[in-house]
Amino acid sequence: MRIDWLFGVAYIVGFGAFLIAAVSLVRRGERRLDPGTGPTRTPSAAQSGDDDATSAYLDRVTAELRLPAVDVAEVRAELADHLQDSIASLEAEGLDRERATREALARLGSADELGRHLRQAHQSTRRLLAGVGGGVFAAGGGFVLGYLGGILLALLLAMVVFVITSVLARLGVPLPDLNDNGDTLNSVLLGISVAAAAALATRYAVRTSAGLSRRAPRSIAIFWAAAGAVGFGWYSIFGMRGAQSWPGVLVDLCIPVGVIAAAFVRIERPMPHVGRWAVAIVLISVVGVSLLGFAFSEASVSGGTSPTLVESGQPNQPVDMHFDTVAPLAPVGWLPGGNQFYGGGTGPDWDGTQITAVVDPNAAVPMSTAMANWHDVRFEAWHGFLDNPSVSYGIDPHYSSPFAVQPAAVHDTSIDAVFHFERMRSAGSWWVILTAVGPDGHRYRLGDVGGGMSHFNGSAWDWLTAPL
Amino acid sequence: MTTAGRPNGGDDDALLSRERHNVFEILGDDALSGPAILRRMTVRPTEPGDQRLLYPALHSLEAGFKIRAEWRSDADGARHRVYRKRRLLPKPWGRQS
Repeated sequence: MRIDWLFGVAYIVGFGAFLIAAVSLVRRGERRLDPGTGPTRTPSAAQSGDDDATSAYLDRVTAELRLPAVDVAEVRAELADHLQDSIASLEAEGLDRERATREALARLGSADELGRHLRQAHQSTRRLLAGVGGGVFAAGGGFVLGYLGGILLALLLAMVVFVITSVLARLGVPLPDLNDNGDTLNSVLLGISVAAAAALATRYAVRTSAGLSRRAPRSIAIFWAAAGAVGFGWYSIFGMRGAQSWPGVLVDLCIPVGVIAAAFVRIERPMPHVGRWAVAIVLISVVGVSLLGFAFSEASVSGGTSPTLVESGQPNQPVDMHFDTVAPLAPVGWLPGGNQFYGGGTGPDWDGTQITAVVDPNAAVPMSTAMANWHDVRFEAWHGFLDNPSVSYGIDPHYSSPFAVQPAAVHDTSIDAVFHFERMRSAGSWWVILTAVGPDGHRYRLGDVGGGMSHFNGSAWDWLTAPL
Repeated sequence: MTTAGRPNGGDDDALLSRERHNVFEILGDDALSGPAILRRMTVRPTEPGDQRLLYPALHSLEAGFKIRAEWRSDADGARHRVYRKRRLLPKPWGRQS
């Protein structure tokens, strides 16, 4: 195992700094939005000495403000302090209390106009830009925290489902057999994690940008809801690739709805406080998982879900592999040099599975010449028995047709085609046979190029539009 | 501070801009509350005038990061919001207010 320590340290420090900065920014926005945790302790109404006329005036000003709660409280306290001072000065000049109050209020002008001017003063373009930038930054931190929280939530759900299914199984209740190598579980877990991450990121963005731009969360939620639904929706439906299943795709499709709900539902309520310990636990989790990831990536040279390929040499088939289900074997005499096809090859799953029929290097004539009397040369992919080779092997004779067909490209020394088994919902075990229509007009089997097993690897959209 | 009569809506921006300028000039190096700024402004003209743009100007300067505000208690314990200019560098020793 070899770890690039410089990169590792830079990653940990950088990621930790980002997370701490994002949480600090969220807290700053929260302090602005929540009167209970505001940055300053404002004078109470009693201290300000509001009377009826003053209170009514201040009520009208604050009704026009439409600012976060802390700003409203500060403006009200400041104006009350100003009026108190102004009334005292006018009383010192000889005016009675009622006239002094009236004059002091008149000098401040119309309450509605003052409130509007104050709102415009607070909601400056610079603060709006700061709010947008801060919202994006906070969304990044929220996505990380939400993702980790989503993993915990998903694991908790998995444990609950496991307990329930175990109890039902003991009671003899018939349960569906998923038998998909954990694809359903993995896709659902991933979907829940991303859904939680997207929801928390959107909520962080709304609350933080509202606090920084001095706007009410509900007034800007629509923009973050739209941006989040488009951004996270695109990612969950088109960008997030991996194992898929119908329940997993259903969760993915719900992510844009969850984002919109997160932007609006009870958005005026304060966010739960994220303490130092929560940040520390997240950091330790991320660092630990990252180091494990580094270790595994160094230890393993393989990645993805490459299909398992079983090559077969046709002349040495030990058992009946049911190849006659596909087509009768081509007469040897029709192929110069006899049976000259060997096994196949495969490429990475995410690029498709490359199927190649290799020509005997000692063949007397090039493949193109040998295939001159054949047409409609193609590879046929049939469902196979590789799930349990000890029981059976080869093509599953329960099927009467291939589940995928690809025209073959004939080269001098090989014939090939690319299958996208990873884009098929239930490719599972497969076996590929090379066939062509012979001089007599009948299709014959020219050779088999092996089999393998593939799992779906793509986006939710790929799953929805998959041929099988 | 505006000393003229009530302006039309179209003049508001120009008046607010002038009020911002006046307030910023008056602040100088001191930390002043709204009423204290008003008293300094009304030292020159005899008419106390129209105060309607004082706080929009102060809050606008604060939103533009030109000045900063904080709550301070006076000798009687009453709290006032005071404003002071933002400084890129701290003032030299001996000139601290």
